[in-house]
Amino acid sequence: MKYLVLAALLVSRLAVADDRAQCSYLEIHATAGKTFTIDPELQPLEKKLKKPPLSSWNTFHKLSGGPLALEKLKAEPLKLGQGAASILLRDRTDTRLELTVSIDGADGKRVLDNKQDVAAGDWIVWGHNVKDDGHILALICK
Amino acid sequence: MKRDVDYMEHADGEAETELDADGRAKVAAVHELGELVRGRLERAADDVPEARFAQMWADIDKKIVPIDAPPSPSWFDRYRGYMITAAISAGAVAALAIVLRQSSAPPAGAAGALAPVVHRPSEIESLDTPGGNGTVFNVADEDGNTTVIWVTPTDPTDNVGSE
Repeated sequence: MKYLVLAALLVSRLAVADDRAQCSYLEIHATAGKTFTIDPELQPLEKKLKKPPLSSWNTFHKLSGGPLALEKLKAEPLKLGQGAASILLRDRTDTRLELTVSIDGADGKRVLDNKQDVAAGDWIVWGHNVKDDGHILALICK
Repeated sequence: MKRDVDYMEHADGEAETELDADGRAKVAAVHELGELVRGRLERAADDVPEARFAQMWADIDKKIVPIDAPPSPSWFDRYRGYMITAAISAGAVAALAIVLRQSSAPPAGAAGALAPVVHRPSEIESLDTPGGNGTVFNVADEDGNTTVIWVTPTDPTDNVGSE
């Protein structure tokens, strides 16, 4: 009987895991320099940073970043180096996530509100111009 | 003086009595009468049909109380081993799924360890960019598709979200 209880607990643990998402984010400051320069922590995005529209700049510095655990229908605020953001996991399956993302600029003004149905394991990038530079937020979730 | 009961006891072998002529006649009559009664009863027994004997034995069998047999094991008792084996197998599979799931989760602070998966690109459900124009790019490379949303200021002299 105890094995049956154990099996039930394990199955319920798997079910609970479907209401969460493990994410990781990177906040990037993009500028134009003489040569292509990228912080080592931004290596996973290097190929993408060399393609338009991000290739408008060639120097990329990480402002902030780290892991981000999302719970379904619970907005997670992100304290960014420049401004702020909020990520909400609305729903998910094994392969897809429904996200709502809000980004505010350093002046506190809303830059964008976005709802996306994204593939688990794909990077999503948001960016906006700050004078001649670029401010980029990249997110990946599983 | 001999009584008739003395002759009857003699005829039944229960007592020895000296018999005179009258006594021998009575004893012989008792023997004959006994033969007649036994013959009559045997005839009566022969007249009972075989089916009635079978019915009698069946009734007797029903009245015999059987010795209590041990109760037969329940379904669960008989298949307990199989059920435990199945439960252990299910638990092992679930544990393996959890281990594999956790091993594929992103480690803390290591965004680069997340391997992009190639499949259907993102779908933009809504996009609101106050103070700017939003443009959606799909950047594809060998790591998969990346959706890039870029906001440019509506007024070129202004910068979205800048200080």
